[in-house]
Amino acid sequence: MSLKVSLIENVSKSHTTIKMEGSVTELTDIKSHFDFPLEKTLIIHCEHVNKINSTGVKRWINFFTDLSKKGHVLIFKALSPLLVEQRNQVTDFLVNGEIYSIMIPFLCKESHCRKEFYIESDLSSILDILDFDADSDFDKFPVSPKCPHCGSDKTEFSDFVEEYFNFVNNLSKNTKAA
Amino acid sequence: MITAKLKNLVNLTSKDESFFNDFVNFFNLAYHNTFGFKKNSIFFLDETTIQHSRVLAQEMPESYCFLLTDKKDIREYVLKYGDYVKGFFIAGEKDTKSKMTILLCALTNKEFKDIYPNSFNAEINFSNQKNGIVEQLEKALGENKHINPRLQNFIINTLDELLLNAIFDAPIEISSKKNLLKNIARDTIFILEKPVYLSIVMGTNFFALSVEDKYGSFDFDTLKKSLLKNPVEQYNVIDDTISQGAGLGISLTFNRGASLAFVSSENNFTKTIAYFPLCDDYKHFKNKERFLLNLLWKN
Repeated sequence: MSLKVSLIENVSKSHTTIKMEGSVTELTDIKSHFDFPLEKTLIIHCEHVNKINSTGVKRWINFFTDLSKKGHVLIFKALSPLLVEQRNQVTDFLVNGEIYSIMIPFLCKESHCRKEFYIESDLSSILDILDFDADSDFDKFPVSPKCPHCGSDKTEFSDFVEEYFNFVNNLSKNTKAA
Repeated sequence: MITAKLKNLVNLTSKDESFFNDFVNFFNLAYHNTFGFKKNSIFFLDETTIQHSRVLAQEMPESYCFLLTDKKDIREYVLKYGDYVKGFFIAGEKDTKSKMTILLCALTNKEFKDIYPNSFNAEINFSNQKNGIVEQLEKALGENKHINPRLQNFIINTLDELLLNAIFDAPIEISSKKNLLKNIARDTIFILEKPVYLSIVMGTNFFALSVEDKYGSFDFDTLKKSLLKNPVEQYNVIDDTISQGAGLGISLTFNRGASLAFVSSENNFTKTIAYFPLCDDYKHFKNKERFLLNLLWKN
């Protein structure tokens, strides 16, 4: 699926909320999908951005850098696991945007289910759980939500805490404090 | 021709044994032509434990083995087993828990198509064929409910990156090191001067991609520079001046957990092979053996 950008809300002199979904590659002209006026603050829902290649990463950064230079404030919501991984490896991936929330992957360990699912969690909750100031060293993420497919509570965070939440180490002190 | 044996050095379950058989076959891919085991062949094994490394040194004394590891005490190991280990690189200073279980590999001269008669093979002659092939793979993998969706996505992304590299980065004039397509935007449609060859194999518990260009412009130093980063270390610059590409593809692919092999003959060909154990648990996949194998071939 190629990139799709939908306008969710436009509050005059306040913020614009959009939803991005699909893929970002060398064929994606991101700018051409933004055919509506943008308020100063741009809230970007990214839960369903499910494919981005290295050229797409470059296009993504260039696009959001342009917006940032024009004075827009970027807030990313529900970053998909794919984008979280990109943010973990490419420092500039979200330019100087703020992460409001990310999708956290879990796997249902019930043998008849074994499905992966994603739960949105806001950054402040994540920081509380990770307790970033305490030099915590988790082997396991200490939250296990019910599986939305079978209802089992035998679920587990499906990644390595240190790797998946690596981006937390690069957040500004203000963001952490907030 | 030297044929080495695969030997498992730690406790194996039957499932692991099956995986190891696939691993043997995977290395057959790297040696599918009439290549022998030559002095300048190099193995990189990732996240090797000291215990495993000792056995490696005992079992594989004649190999030319370079360990890529993030263990802090690798220097001690190299000193102790210096007769066996010819060199080493330090990938990072982080002392992570070791999960490595594969240490030796088998090398045979069997043809890829003999081992995997059901492989998908394609010759790519146009730059825009890439996206069609990537979409086909996406569709095929999407029908398999037993493969973790993030792993599926990663495999698709790897194919995309390997094809981008073969189409846009491989065309290099060896003598001047000039990238012939440096200023060509990556959405440009053109006829490739030399075709790119693709093979895809899906076994019961593994997936392998092989992408071959006919330039043989592989630069090991460039690869090494981008790969010798701790997986949690971050990139912070995307260099706009080098080429239309981002220079991230292989690095991100390896850091996300793919096992990679490179077979290259200067001015002749470069084959990149990516290997993935298949499972429904992404964490398990990331926790699996990852390796980097570089087989440089000089004419």
